[in-house]
Amino acid sequence: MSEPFEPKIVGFLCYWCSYTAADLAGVSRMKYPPNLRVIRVMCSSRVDPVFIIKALLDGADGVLVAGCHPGDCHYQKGNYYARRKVALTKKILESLGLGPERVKLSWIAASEGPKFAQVAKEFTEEIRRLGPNPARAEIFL
Amino acid sequence: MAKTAEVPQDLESFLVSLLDLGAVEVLFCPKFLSEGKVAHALIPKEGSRKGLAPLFPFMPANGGKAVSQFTLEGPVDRPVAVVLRPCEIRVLVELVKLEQANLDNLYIIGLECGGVYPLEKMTREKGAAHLEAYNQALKEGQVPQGIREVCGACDLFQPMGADVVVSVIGRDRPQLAFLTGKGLELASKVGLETRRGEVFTSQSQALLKTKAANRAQLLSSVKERVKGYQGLLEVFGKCIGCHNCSKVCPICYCKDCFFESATFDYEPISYTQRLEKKGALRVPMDTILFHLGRMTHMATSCVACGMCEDACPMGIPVAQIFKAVGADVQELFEYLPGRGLQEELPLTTYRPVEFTELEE
Ligand code: SF4
Ligand code: SF4
Ligand code: SF4
Ligand code: FES
Repeated sequence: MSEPFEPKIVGFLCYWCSYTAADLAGVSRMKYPPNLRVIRVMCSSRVDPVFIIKALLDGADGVLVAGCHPGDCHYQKGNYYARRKVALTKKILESLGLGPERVKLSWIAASEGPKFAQVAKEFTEEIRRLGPNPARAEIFL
Repeated sequence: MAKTAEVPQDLESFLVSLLDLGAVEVLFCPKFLSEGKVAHALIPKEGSRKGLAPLFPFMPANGGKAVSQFTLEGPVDRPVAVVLRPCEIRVLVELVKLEQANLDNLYIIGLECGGVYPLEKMTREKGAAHLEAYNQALKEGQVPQGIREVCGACDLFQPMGADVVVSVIGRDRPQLAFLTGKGLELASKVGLETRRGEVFTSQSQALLKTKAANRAQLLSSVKERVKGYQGLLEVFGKCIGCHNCSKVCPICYCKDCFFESATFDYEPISYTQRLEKKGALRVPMDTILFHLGRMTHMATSCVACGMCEDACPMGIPVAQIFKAVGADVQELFEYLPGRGLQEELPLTTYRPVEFTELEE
């Protein structure tokens, strides 16, 4: 019997907002699934599309990029660039039939602990529905 | 309609006259090394003009990249006429935006392009052996047999951004069209009488339709083939990681490519831990990541010139794949590489409100 599928999701969270929100969700004891492996970045724009693709090729079932709401980036414009990078990455994945729906962008402010918990929950469910990343099965990737 | 003139004798003599009559001091143009072998060269006023090969259908390097080599550190100090194919001009424009080239003092002579043959045909066979059939096809407005796959599907073969356009398709003798002030300056310096006329022939316009259809066909067949991780492995699985494709790519200008950096040197544990989850691990890792990563870096600027595919020792259709993915991402950002200097590179700009469908 194979084990039931538990999605593994990589979350790139901006230090100034979404990471704090995740922290807040934690200390407020909000319930959210433990499937998210968090990587803290100093701004959502730090996420090079190559990071997202590397995670997927290595078998991550989903990738979440979360940063400050538009207009609120600590570095003024970082999240606008991040949005373009995520759009680009998803388009490349779509072109090659690699499942763009496994990549998600979200704006979560430092105070939005509940939103963080909700995004984590919904995205985990979405990925659960999609099933395991087929890249996991390919040894030559 | 534009100011046009037939070349007095042939294109080569027009180019020589630019030097002789002092319109420019240097010419940048493909030139024969030996019979049937060609390379780009800078030719000064008093220099050797023998064996100019502006129309010889081979591209030993993307000429836009070659121009960036001598304009990277700053503009040239004297007028230079550069003879380029359309995808070479587009590369040059992209490289200016990427701060790798400078257009000052350049006079761009843009060739209407019937496509180029894979370089293998030049190195293994006599390149000139294909000339007759090639010229015949151009005269009739057909796609010559055996040219690069991406050339057969190129619907941007009528140059943009040129000061002078050399029209060859559907003609016995090339026609010059002087489209800018700089172009007209050349015409008057060499004393050419111009008259108003169409830049391109009706055969050329018909070919445009054929090639647009070829393009659509190529894009869909690539997507059919490179689909999902299996498809990706099918095509890129045999890649030997030589990185020739990025070395010859005119858009990949980075001296220290990210994918050759220590970022991709891992601790032993990275390898052994992966073995707990996988039945085997390909070493070196990241062969496929390189291609997808390179796409994220430069597909927005890929002009589908075909250099990468020609340089691949494994026969991987790199350029066709980059053309297909490039088409999608360029459409996403409503961007056409090389169309104009005023169009900003997609990843260095943004609009405050866009891609709202991605946001949550
Ligand atoms: S792949 Fe990226 S880092 Fe490497 S040369 Fe091309 S653009 Fe530069
Ligand atoms: S990726 Fe290939 S086709 Fe595209 S610009 Fe580079 S060399 Fe030309
Ligand atoms: S040139 Fe061919 S074999 Fe070499 S890295 Fe590129 S795709 Fe792989
Ligand atoms: S600092 Fe949070 S997205 Fe830029």
